[in-house]
Amino acid sequence: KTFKVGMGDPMDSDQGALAQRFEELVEELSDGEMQVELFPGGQLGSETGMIQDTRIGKLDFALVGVGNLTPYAPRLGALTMPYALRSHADAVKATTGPLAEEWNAIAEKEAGVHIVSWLYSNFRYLTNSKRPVTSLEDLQGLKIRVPQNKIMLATYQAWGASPISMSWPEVFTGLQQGVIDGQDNPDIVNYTMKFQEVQKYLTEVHYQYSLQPIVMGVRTYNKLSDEEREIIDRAGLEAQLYGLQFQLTQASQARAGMEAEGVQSATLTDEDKWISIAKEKVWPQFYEEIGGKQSFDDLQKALGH
Amino acid sequence: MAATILFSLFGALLFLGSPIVVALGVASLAVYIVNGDDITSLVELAFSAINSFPLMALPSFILAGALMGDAGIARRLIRIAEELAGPAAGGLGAAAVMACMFFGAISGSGPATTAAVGMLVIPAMIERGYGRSYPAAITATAGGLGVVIPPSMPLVIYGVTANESISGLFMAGVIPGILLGLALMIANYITSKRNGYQTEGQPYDKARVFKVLKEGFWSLMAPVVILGGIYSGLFTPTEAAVVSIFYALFVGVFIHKESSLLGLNEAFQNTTWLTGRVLIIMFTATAFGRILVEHHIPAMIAQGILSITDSLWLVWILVIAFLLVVGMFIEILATIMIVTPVLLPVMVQLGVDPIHFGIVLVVSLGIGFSTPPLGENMFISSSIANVSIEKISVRALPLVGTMVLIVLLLAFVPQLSMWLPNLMGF
Amino acid sequence: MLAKLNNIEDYACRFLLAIFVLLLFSQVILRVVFGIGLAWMEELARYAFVWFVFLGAAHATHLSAHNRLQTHINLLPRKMANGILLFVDLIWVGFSLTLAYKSLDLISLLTEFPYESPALGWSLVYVYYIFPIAFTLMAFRVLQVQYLKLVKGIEPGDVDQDEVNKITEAESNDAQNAGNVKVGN
Ligand code: NA
Ligand code: NA
Repeated sequence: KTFKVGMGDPMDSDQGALAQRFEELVEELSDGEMQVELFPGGQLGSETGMIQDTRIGKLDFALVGVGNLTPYAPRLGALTMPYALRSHADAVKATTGPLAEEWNAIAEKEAGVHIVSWLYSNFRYLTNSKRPVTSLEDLQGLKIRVPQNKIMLATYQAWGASPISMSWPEVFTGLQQGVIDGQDNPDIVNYTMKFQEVQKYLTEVHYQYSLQPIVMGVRTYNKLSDEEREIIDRAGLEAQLYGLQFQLTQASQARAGMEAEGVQSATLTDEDKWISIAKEKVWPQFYEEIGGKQSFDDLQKALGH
Repeated sequence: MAATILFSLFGALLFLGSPIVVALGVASLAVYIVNGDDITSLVELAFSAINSFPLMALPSFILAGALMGDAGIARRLIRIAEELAGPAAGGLGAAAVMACMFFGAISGSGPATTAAVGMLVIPAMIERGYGRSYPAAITATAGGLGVVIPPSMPLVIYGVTANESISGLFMAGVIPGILLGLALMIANYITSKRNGYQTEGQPYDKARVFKVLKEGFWSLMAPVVILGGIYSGLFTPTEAAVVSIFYALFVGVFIHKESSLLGLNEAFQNTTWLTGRVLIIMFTATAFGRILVEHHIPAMIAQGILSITDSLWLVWILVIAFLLVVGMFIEILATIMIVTPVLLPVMVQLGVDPIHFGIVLVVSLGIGFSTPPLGENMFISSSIANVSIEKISVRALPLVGTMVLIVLLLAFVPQLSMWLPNLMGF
Repeated sequence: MLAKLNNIEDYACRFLLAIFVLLLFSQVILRVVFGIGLAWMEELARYAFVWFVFLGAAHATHLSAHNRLQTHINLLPRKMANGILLFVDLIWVGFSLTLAYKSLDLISLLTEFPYESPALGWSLVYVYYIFPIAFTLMAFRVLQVQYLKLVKGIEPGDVDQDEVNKITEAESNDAQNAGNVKVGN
């Protein structure tokens, strides 16, 4: 039996690392009875399209940003709230054990997909071409690209930047031509996209931890034998741990590469302020959408915030 | 198995006269059924293939082109070209080529360029003793410049299909477009010398040139608005197309005072069915291409070719020959959507830049505009000149030959396409 | 009235075209002049565009404007050519109706597991309604054109040729399309 996995990024990305490990594990655990085939680089379409295809059963697995699942399962949006996750430890805690089971139940019920594994893709760090950003004041008026995501748009607005929503293929030229001053993405993405060629400053902002689950359509999952399901879930969990190690080592290499090419990196002197604005101005706007204030508070409590 | 079904059904339906969109769609549908895949996923593809911001450049450029004709922008550009070509041997022929280059910088389509230029230049050429078939041949061939010089609809479609920057592709088309224009002007000069198409133009007159340039100021600004807007970073290609729609309306209503409600109505009407027939192919061609990818067919073809030869030169010649033949028969946008997923991986494996490949692809296919049996530019110029396709084809032969030489040059000297986009950092 | 209804796609398309062009233009003005980016404008424009494309495809069918290779078919005896074209057009009808029917499945799937569009927060179901509508219309148009041709003897026009004619008429009234080889398109 052959299973197809679709993903948006190329094979040498962190998505590729996770998917390749997942492939090895599934094939190993099933003694080669289950084969996995990878289709990187968006060959099988956009992330949204791939999610649809897993729901229908046309595609077996899709590796996608959690943000692309939230239109189907708004409650997963809790994970994308600014400063919901503030460290790697938070990200791991939120995606293993009882919390992982909770998200999976939501995804199965609302989106029709089963979550097999989580890829830890690190914080989205802010880059720009104008000035070093070390405090909230430095951010004022900067034109920052955000994906089509209401929460990120509202967050930058609350902080006093000018967020502009722009589709991904246009970002590089947009930065280069000055349509936008900056954008945010994890170190590995920033480096593989060669943003160092058009961006001079990088700031470590910890408001958005990028999580990318591997999902399988519930229909497909339910058709599998118990044994096959167990193999897939186990391979997913083991690959997840491998992905975390990969992230921790590769992100610092990517950053070193960017710095070697002239990017100045900085940390925030007043991240407390950024956090409190997010809490006061952004969270209340989205409680209703992500399943109520209570459940979000519970998540925060479970993470010890 | 899947590949056999896919290609044989596609070929059979196409041969039986089925629309291209249906041949692609039914062949894909058959593979879905044989594989036991859920067909709803095909409908999902209809949505995701079209739900794309860059694709919106296509109807916008079609509408803008039509409105620029109605606003008198095109006519003034052509007057300028005529004036600049002046009294040299074959002057009006050169004017036709130059006019196609100017008009090409505001229009994204080959046939539209031929129509706009041919309407004014062909009758003038006939009057001045060029015969009937040569004027039709040169405007049909030069009309192909409309898709090489930016903006260009084939480059938009290639950019979306290959997931490459459309701005980068537009930039890459500039030098090849000028090169093709110059080559056609040289070919025209030689032909005119040989046939004695002499000094029929009026001698240069500073005052008159100045007057034409002044009248054409707003027309000359149109490409500046479109391309300047894109390269200064003010707009994306889609937005530039939309801005040029409003530019054409503004100039047509307030400055030239030539725009009419009738013209607006017709522009809307044509944009509708033209877009519908092209972009629905985007849907079925995406399904077709997706099946190829899922069965690793492009990789297999690449391996096959590379096992025969790894000479990039030889592969280029094979690919160009293939494209010239396909371009003779099948509409250019549909062809781009069908062949890109197959050929691009091969060329990339050989180290060709996707932007460079896009330019060679579009120029090769653009030559088909002026070859029978399906040569859209030729149909238009044949109607305007009132002369048969056969007669035009004979006269077009040396011109088409010139274009083929330039395509080879473009293939073997990537810098011609890549220098400008590299300079701009694409 | 009936004539207007017969061109329903045409009118709907012109309206949608105007909408998305205006939306995109406003978006450019807002961004370039005021530095404001509104994600919902782009999204609404894109959805109008999706509707526009599929209705436009049905309209193109009505005008029998879809690109096909038929030079060689037209060389065949009239009856045979008509028969072959009727055959492939019936396949087309089957294809369209299959897609129309299957799009209902997709709509019910989207109703079961709703998708809220990222910027507007609309259910994508509304956008997907275009598929049953447009593919049904397309099947109807194919049959309508065949009916007019085979029963009423009205040959479908050639829109590309009409375009050419318009240009030529504008140039000189006596120009006929003499010698123009009729090539399928
Ligand atoms: Na052009
Ligand atoms: Na041709």
